Amino acid sequence: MTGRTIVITSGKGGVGKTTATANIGSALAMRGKKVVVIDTDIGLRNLDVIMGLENRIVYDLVNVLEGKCKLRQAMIKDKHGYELYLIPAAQTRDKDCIDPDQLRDLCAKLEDQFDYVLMDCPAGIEQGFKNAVGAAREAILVTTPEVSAIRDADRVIGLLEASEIHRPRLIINRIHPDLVKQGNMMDKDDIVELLAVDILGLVPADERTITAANRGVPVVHDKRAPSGAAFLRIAARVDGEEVQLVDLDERSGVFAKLKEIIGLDRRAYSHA
Amino acid sequence: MLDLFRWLLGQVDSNGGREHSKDTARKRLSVVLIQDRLDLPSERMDDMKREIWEVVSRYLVVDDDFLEFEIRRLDELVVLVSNIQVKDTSELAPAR
Repeated sequence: MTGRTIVITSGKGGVGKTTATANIGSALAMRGKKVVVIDTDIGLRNLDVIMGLENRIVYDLVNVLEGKCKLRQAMIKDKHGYELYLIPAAQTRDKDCIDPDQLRDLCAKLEDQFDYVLMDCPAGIEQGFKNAVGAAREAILVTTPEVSAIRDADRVIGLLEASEIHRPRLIINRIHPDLVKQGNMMDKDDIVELLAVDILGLVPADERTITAANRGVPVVHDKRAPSGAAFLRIAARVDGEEVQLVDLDERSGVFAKLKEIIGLDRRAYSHA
Repeated sequence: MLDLFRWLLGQVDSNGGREHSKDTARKRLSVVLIQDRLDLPSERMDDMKREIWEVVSRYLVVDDDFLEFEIRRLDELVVLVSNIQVKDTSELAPAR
């Protein structure tokens, strides 16, 4: 098996990297792929709680890299029965305890066993970022439609380029279609023009992401969540399927809402 | 009546003709991103702009006000685009 190692990164914190990693990983697994997600945010681990696996951690990424445990021992199987595994970050160590070469070797080893190796990158552009990016071959960039997040994303595009990761694909997260309509939020076209990158997907702001995080169940498992549907489409695109970008605006009208409520609007799911 | 209809459809801005905030955001960002990419502070940009204008005005009669000067990303390239209005084509080569 020759898997793909993809880093999910953003520069700015709090834009939804961890949520994106958990959901894309889950969605790829739901598509029948073998997936491992790695939390590389040493000292501030969170992917485990988003996936609801925090109680199952015995060993972590640093233990594996230091040879304190076998790789298998640090891989936690997801609860939903798919071929999805989590390698959690160490919580009581810091970013400098990772050797970038060792992380690269680990990913190369995982590529032999998995279709996808997804790395949740720490915020910022310091050592933790460099470690994760250095081990990846592709990148998914997450931003929100805000000036600060977009500025940081642009900086990250430059840094990725410098580390030989070309053409990162962009997820715009937490889009408020009503604000876009009013002219009070930048839309997809504005952001694509500013950053000059390819779009991987658009994710609407969705309260269900919050309840999903509360429960520790990624939102792709929530059949009624618009953000979950968006992540299913994103995973399909990552997996090489041609899926049209869905205009989020269409779904905010009264009729779309009604259809959603009475369950007629299955269009989003039929794509993925 | 038509206005009301437009308003209902959300085609009229509710902020009394002021620029939409997303356009302000986009414009601010396009300037900030260029400066970040070039690592060039805005005073230096202004200096360059002024000097280029001075050079061009030695050869052509140009408008003092109409000067567009921006650095854009064009696919893989970063390009400097400047538009300077030539005011009077009958005086294309002024006496020096």
